[in-house]
Amino acid sequence: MMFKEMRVSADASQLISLATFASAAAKEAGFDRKQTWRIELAVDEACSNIIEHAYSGQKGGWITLKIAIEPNEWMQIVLEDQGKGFDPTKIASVTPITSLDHARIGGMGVHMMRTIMDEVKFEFKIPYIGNRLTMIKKV
Amino acid sequence: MQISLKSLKRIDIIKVTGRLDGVGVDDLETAISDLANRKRFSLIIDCSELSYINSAGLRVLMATLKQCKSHSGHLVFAHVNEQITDTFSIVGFQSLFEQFDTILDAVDSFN
Repeated sequence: MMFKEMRVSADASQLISLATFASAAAKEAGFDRKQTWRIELAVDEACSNIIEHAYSGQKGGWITLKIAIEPNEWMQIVLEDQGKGFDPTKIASVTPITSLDHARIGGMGVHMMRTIMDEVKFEFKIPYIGNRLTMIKKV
Repeated sequence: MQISLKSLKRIDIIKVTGRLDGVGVDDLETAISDLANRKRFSLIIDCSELSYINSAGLRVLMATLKQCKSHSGHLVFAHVNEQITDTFSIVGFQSLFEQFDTILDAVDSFN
């Protein structure tokens, strides 16, 4: 098993670093090209939600990305933040989107995460940690 | 992300280069807003150099399509690569976003 970790400031300029880190790990885990870019997308959406909602776009917070890999078997992605504990599953969501009337409805990112990953679990206000999102995908 | 604009007589072609995500989406919104102010609602998004899109980018494109249609215009896409098409499909956009292999085909679709 392999472990990787990175910690960055919760800033939109860091999104590409987080996504690229996850994408490289997905390749090492043995995912094909399509699944690798989908995993990059899931991590990007998760981190975007943390920056925009958990930290309300304010600087000063942190995001920790922890990845565990069992090559050719599975990949676990853990994101931790100390923001206000935004639960994206509680916002209105219409997916798949089949009408232009859904243009501004939220929940698209969470739908993407749930479609791409096999497991998505949100935990909030964990003592000494904060909020934790765990996503697992089998190769 | 970079945006370049080419205007034909009735149609505007917006070429988006790089990643269309939460960082770059404001530039695209500004470009589209400028076009809307000039009553230009027949748009082609040239995706030949678009490498990535996330929900922030998709929301802007969806809102733009809605705006164009409400002004009797349209928004279509050209040169959409496999990765972008896959992202469209995750949220069901492939049925809403009309795609063409070439800019010429996209331009012809407005006639």
